[in-house]
Amino acid sequence: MAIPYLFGPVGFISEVLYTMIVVLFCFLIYFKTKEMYDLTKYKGIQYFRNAFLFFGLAYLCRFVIQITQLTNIASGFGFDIGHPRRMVFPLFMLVVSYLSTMALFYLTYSTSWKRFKYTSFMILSNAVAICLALVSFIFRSPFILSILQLLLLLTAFIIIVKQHKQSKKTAITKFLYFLILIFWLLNILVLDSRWFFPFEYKIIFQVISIGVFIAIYYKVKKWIK
Amino acid sequence: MNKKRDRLEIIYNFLKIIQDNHNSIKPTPLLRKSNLSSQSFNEYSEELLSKEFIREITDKKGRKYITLTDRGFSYLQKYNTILGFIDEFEL
Repeated sequence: MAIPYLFGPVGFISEVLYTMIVVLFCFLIYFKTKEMYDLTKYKGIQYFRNAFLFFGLAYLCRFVIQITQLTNIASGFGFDIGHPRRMVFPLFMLVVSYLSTMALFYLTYSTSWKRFKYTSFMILSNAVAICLALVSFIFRSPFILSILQLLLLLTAFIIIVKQHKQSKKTAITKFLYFLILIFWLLNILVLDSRWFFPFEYKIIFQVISIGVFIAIYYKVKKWIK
Repeated sequence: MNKKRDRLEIIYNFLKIIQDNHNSIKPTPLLRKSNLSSQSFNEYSEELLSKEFIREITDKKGRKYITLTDRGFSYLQKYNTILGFIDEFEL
């Protein structure tokens, strides 16, 4: 049986580093904007922060799923560590689905909250996130989750693009948001064992993904003194 | 204009008036200079007091003055930065 790259030390280390860096930047964005939010209680800042908090947590939980898959593979080589794999994968798929869907909603809502009521947003976003989470839990399929989130992404993108003013600066920000969401979908797709990305392509898109988070963090840091 | 943006601006102007008056102003002149209705003025005063942007002090003669706290000064210093951040991400 061909050993997936994740089982190799290089693949494993790259996943650890990738997750650590992305989670780090997500949490940095969340915590660096805390003072600004505490001073103003500005809703847009709150939703922006929540988006990156949820993304950070989603990436962490995604990594747990990968570890689960790794130990599942390892058990075939006699390295069974005896944890309840059959529970961990669907459970964390449920959590990852909810967190990532809410992150997507918060990111969209941060730019459009003036147009939609908060109550409606909370009801809709949680309802959709819980539905997607249950679908992921029942079908245990990252592929299905990625397809459903792709539909949400397209809707979100239309909402984000159709904002009041367009400028080069905001176009760049929207493009970065789009990339964050696209890379998230690719990260979910990779969890599906049928979607095996060549290691080289994986490294490339991980590097670009990290670059996107660094770009967002840099834009945030510019305003944090 | 964005309603929330107005709120941030109103708070900025409110605090700026206090700062420009050597960080000590009586409520009545503050009301007059803030260009707010009595009701709005009371609402903002209560909010800023509760959030510790301003505080009320009473002198020996029993006269009330409003002054800025460190938090209030911080808001004034960071106001333009905050606006820039909000514009940058279209929040």
